[in-house]
Amino acid sequence: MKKYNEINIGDKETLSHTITKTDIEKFVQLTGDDNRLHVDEKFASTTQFKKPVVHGMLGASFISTIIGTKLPGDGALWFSQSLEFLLPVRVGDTLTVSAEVLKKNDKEQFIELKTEIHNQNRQIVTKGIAKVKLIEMEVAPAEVEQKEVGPKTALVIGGTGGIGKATCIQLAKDGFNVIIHYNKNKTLAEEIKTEVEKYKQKAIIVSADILNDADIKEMISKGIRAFDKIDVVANCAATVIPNIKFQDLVWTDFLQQIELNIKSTFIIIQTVVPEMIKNGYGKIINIGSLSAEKPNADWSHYITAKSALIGLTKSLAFELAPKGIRINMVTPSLVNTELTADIPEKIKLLTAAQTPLRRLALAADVAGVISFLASNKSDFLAGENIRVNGGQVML
Amino acid sequence: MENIKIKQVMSAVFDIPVESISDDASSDNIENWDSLRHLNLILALEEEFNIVIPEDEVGNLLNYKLICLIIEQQL
Repeated sequence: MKKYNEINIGDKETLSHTITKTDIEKFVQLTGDDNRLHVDEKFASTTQFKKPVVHGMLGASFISTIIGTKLPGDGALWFSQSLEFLLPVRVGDTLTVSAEVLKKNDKEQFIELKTEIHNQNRQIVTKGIAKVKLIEMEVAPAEVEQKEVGPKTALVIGGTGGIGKATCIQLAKDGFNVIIHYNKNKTLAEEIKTEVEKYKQKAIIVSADILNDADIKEMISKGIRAFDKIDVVANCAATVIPNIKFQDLVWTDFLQQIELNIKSTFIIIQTVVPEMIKNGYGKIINIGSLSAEKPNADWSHYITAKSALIGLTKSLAFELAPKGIRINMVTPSLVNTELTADIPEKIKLLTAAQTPLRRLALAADVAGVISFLASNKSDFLAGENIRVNGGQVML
Repeated sequence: MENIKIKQVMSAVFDIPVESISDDASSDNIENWDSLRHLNLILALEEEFNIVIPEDEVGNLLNYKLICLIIEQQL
């Protein structure tokens, strides 16, 4: 279907059709109009027309065809038509039906068409004016965005961690270029880069201390220099969570978790958002923790920070969604990674046994959901928290 | 050695061949593992290994691997 702004005054379409006896029979069958002037040769011979006359509306119905299929086409709403039947049409006549744009009504988004039907002798047999409204198709933004040229770029913070590494690889599989952030493990970052490139995607590695403002700014600047844009940020940074009894906690234990989960996330988002706003599109994915909903002892410093991250995610999602930036969260249960290697086997076995899906989460489980949130398949999600816990918590 | 004994106890309690008890055995794949037999299993394990399984561990004996681990802790 043509869009309103693609139609110009003077645009014209035509179609031709030769009227047959079968056309008349079908028209009579459909409408019940068996006026003898149209169907009875003997009767017609007694009139001034001498031969049967084709129903005027049969010819005029081809105006509907031209409006519905050509100008403007699918979705056209034909709401007005004047008609004058100037000459009779006979079986065997070849009609040329034309529609030409006379006027455009920008306010109401409709067009006026001069509609004419000529016979094979170039005589006008029918004429009139049609008014047609153009219905806007409801196209999901995701469909629009799918037409974008070139791959999207994702920055994976903590790209060398268990979830981070799986995320880099999953995103590459799903067609993203990847900026792999690492803190110290350059060798592993290089290996992940090689892995990403196996999927025909581009990757760079960038080192940064994510508790340092200048490092974060430099990291994002390097990413943009390399790929011109950053479409997605996946915050996968994590650290070992020490078990500390409440009475033994000191404020710096809280601060450490809050700096990693809140301060770094805040600075990363604040730095990357102007670029995303410029592009009118962006995805930010934070990683939560099941412990914020199903707490355990000795983790109040960590749970406090992860709970704050839920608030940060929701409030920023609300504020930035109108600018096209979708901020969401993935909340895994206990994930089998290097970070959780020190958790006692009994806890892992118990957790798996108490999980409806009877196992611990894998980094790939989390990465799959992160990639979904990074993709345009999730473009109507903002402030959402997707739990990846095998059914441990169902809300 | 204890692991074989554990499977033998489970075999007797659940009335199934010992060979059918895999390392992934749990109430998900042993049909007879109901709440009554679970209590019988605890009593049988206590008797076999001459231990007392603490009350807060009773609900944790959810599968063969956990049983092995908890018995080992109590020996």
